[in-house]
Parts: sequence; C-alpha cells; structure tokens
Amino acid sequence: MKVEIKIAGKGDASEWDKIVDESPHGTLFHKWKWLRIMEKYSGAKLHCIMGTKGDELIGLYPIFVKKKFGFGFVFSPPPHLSVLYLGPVIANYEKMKQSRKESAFNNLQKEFEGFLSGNLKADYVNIMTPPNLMDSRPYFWNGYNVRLRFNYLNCISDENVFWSNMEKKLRQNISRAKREGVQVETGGPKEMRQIYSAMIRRYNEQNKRVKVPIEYLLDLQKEFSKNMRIYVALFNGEFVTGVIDLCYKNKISSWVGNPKSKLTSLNANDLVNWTSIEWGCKNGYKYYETMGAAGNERLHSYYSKFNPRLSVCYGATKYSSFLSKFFEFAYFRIVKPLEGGGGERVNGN
Amino acid sequence: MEIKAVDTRYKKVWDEIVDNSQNGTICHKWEWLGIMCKHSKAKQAGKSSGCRLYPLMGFVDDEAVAILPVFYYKTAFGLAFSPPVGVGITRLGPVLKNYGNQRQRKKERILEDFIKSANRFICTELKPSAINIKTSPGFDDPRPFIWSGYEVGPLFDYIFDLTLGEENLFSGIDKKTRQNINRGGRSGLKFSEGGKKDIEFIWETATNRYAEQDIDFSVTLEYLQDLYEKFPQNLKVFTVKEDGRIVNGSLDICYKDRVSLWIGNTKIENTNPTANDFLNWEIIRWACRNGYRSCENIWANDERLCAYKSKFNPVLSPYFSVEKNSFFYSLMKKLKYGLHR
Repeated sequence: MKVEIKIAGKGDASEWDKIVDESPHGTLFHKWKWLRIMEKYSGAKLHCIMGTKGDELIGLYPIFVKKKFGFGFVFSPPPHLSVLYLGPVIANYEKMKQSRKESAFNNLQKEFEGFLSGNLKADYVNIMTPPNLMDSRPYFWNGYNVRLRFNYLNCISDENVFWSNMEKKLRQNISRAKREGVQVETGGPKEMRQIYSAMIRRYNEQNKRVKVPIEYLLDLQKEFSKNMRIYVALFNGEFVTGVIDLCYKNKISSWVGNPKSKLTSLNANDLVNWTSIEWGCKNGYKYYETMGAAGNERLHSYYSKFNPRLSVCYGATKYSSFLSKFFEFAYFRIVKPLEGGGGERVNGN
Repeated sequence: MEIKAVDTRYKKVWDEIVDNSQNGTICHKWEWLGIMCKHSKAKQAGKSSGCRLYPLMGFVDDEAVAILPVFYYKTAFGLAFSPPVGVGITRLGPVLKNYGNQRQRKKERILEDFIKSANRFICTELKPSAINIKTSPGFDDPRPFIWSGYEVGPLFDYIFDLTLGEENLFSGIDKKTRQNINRGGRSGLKFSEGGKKDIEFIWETATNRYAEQDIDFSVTLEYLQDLYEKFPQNLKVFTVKEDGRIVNGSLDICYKDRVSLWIGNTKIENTNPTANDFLNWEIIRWACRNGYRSCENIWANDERLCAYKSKFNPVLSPYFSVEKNSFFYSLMKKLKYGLHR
C-alpha cells in the first residue's frame, strides 16, 4: 500500500504530539504548539504533513513555506528562530527492523517529494534533520545535497563521573566562581529579557544582529514553562550572564544564551552551565546537549572542555532549477551578510 | 605539528598506529598500501596513469601521532586520493594514535592540528586539482576538514553486532530471507572455507556481474592474489558448493574483532537462487563462532542494493566523504554529472 500525504488540522494536534513524544526523532521543536508559535514569527505558512499508510501513521513532516520573488521556499525549521533542527519524525522507529525502517523513511520521503513539487511548486527545499535520525540516504537518493551539522552531547547519568571527566581548568573555574560569590538563580520572563539584552550587546560587539524576536521567546516561555529553565548568574546582585535551557524527554538542551560577560575575571558561564548539568543529574536526566557550538570553529573548543561527544545531524538542500540555486546563493551569501548575518548560532560567548 | 612523507624505515611505527587505533583498517597497513599502489590506475581523458604513495605521518616532539596515506596521480588534473581508485577499497583516510581513549578536548586538538598540517602538505607539495578522501569507520569527527575548506558528506556501511548471538541475529532477519536460507540448506548447499584457487571464480563472477550492469570494475585478479599471499591471516575465502561444485563465494576481510564482507557473493544467473542468502548468513554464523564481535557489510549507499542488504537487519555505520576540488575540476565534474548537485 502506498504512503499518502495529508495536512494535519487542529483536530490532529494530540495525535501529532503523541508521535513526537514517542519517536526518538521527536523534539520539543516538533510539538504542535511550538510549531504554531514559530509560524507566527517566521513569516511563512506552516504545513503539518502526516504520512499515512491505510490507517497507520508512518511519520510527520512539519514544513514552512514562503514565496519570495516568485520562488517557492520550503524550510524545516524556518530560519532565524534559533531552531537548529526539525525535519521528519518517523513513527515506531525503534521497534522496527532495519528493512522496515528504511522502507518507512524512503516511502515517506518519496511522497513528500511529490507533494513538494506537485502541490507546493517548491524551488528550494532546506531540511535540517533531528538528532537520532542517522539515515540521511533518502535525501541523497532524492537529489539533495547533504551536509553535516554538529552538536555536543554529554552523558550526565552520573554526576561524579561527569565532574571528574571535565577539564581540570574548567572544574577550577567553576569552584572559583562559586567561591568568589557568583550566584546562579532560575528565573522567568524578566530574566529572559535580561539574557536577551546581553545577547544583543554581545552580538553588536561582533557587528552581528540578533534576529530572534523577544516576543517569540516570551510566547514560548508562556506555553512551555515546564520545559524551559532559565538560569542567570548574579554578582553582587547584578546580572552577569545567563542561559535558556530546554528540558524534554531525557535530555537538557543548552539553547539560547551564554554571552561572554563583562565580568572577565570570573567565568560565570561555566558556573551557569554546570548548575544546569548538576540539576539535570539530580532530576534524572541522561543527556546534556550544547546546541550549535560544536560546528563552529571558534566556539567549539570552549564547550569541548565538558568532555562531550559529537552528535551528527544533517542539512539537506535541494534546488528545482539552476536559477533557484543562483537565487539562494545571492540571498544567503550576498544579501544576508550585508544585513549583518547572525541567526545561525544561538550560543554566544 | 610536523608532517613527513615517511619511508619503509617507519613501517613498524606506522603499522602500530593502525593496529592500536579505533579506526585503523587492514587497508591502512604498510604492505597493503604498497600492493594497492602497485595495482591502482586512474583513468582520465582516455589515458590511464599509475600513482605514487605518500604515507603522511604527523609528529609531535618526534613522536608519531597520526597517519594519512595519500595516493597521487599525475593525470591532466593532479589527483590526491585516499583510498586509491580501482582497487575495490571504499574507505581509508586518516588514523590517529590512541584516538578512542582520549578526552574530547585533547582529541580535537591533535586531530585539528594534524588535518590542518596534512592539508597544507597536500596543497603545497602535491598541488592537486582534486583531493578526495573517504574516512574509515570509527573516525567520528570530520569537522577539521570542513574548517580547512573541504566539502564533507555522509556515507554508510551496514554492520551486525555479533555479540547479540547467532539465534537473535537469525530471528532478526526478514522472514522470506530466513526461509531462503533454510531452503538453501535443505536443497544441499554446502558452506566451506576455500583457498587461493577459488579467488579466480569469485573475481570472474564479480567482473561479469558488473559488466552486465555497465559498472566499471577494474579490480584485477593479480591484485587479489597478491593481497591473499601477503595477508593469509586476514583474508578469507568462503564458498558455497552444490554437488561438490562451487556455485558462489566471497573474499572477505578479518581484522581486529571484525569480519568485513568484501568481494563476491554476486548474483549469478542459472544457479540455486538461495545461494546468496545462504552464503551471507553462513559467513555471519562463521564470524559468530570464531569469536568476532562484529560483521560489516560494506557499502550501504546504493538504493537498490540496500533494499537487499537491509533484509538481514543490520544497523547503519557512518563514515564520511571529504572533497576539495579546484574551480576547473568541479566545473568539469558538473558538466559531466549535471548542475543540480
């Protein structure tokens, strides 16, 4: 039986979220409400695609569609919203044998391609796959150019082991920051604004612009307060730095923040991140992920002090014509840098 | 880091790094490299040319810490490849000493330093128009290549975890394939270890099969025989016989705790149709019984072949393709293969 594509409506929200919760590919960014909030700020139209085979749900594919200068752009995730991966979620993946895994993903992708070219007339498609989806071949087989994307993943199931595996210098930094009186506290919308302002300041120093709107972050905070932990570091009662972390399933993801602080004598960011990891260990989380920084030549060595391992995702792009390839080149390489770039990386420092 | 193209005096040091690293393969061994070099030829514009091996070694304070074998072809465009072409090897690339046992930060520091230095050596000493490296399994961090201006993409093999045990592995196989295997045994197929005399059959059937599909298979019989003579411990010939006559076979690699399915097990017309499934399973079983921990089915990047190979329920094992081409070389490639990619 053939896989069929349908667009999920409001009534499908709970089934959608159930698959996201169950599948190893499902992330917080795939959740129905998160997608809707992204749609609001992306300037693109969200299509929540469901692939079905008879009564069986094969997988989900959230995409954002934008028309610009007569070209059809398809993104998953949409750009400039600090989301580094989205892409497909295959249902029941872990329980399947390899041949079923492959046919499920291959068939979903093939129907998806038909939908993109037939219904959406897409000229440019950009998919960034979620963690735990090691198979990138369906993209290759469907004419995509596939690149690698990296995150750092720490196993935090044992606090003592984790602490002793960190670089000595990092452990000293953390202890010293604590001893000298840097305090780490959790916060809400107010602290979120503080972190945001600090990010803007840090980006300005580097002649870059923060593209994520604060209202978007605040909307998410309201809707996902249970999944979000906002940490700020204070020194003599003053805000120094902070980070917004996401907690979902068995993983804490260090998401937005960690700008280099003005307090240069003490490393408050190390203490902030350690506090989050320590909390994660005590509350039964298994993994701590640093999003984005691992792929960045300048930033990665700061985060590798925590002794993480590398986690690989994929960025798959496809052009319908030479013209759209040229257009994408012009837009991302020429127009965007003039606007000030940024947006790709969310972790500052 | 200092980079040198070393000579035979370093053979022992070289092989020690290969043996003790998590991503050293048998193909990285000094003598295997030499045999590949002897038999590899690159074809360009109708001309074929041999290669020269540059065994690059990275030193920190006189201690050898990493290796990268590079094969250089002096064709119309200079080509620097690892692995070389036309010798049936899909993965080679860099190997770092003690790579698996270090902390992330230290690993990164040595790796980044080595790749940067090796890249500089290749670009300034060899000045090729195209550099093409495919890393070996276990090499998990291709970022330094990206940061040195290479295009990096994912590639895959299939791998079986033999510690699951024979029974679990068998029950994981798709039902129809299991039936084929059983039917093969009942119909009188016999599995056995073969020898040098069977290599010719394996090579010939593989060559014919590729010719049927119009795929260029330039591996020569002499090359396989050379390897078999030099590496009798690491190369195994397996055969399937029916009524005492060989009907299929394969030449496979045993190294460290892994068996890698390599050349053969070709689809052959007019023979027992269950022979392929039967041979495939019998090798996995042989590997289990001989204390190996994993079994690799090399090359999982072809859609049609994967549909067959995945029926045995392996998992994916990733590695990377790493490329850097000059403007004219990539233009030529684009004209040949189309502009979309």
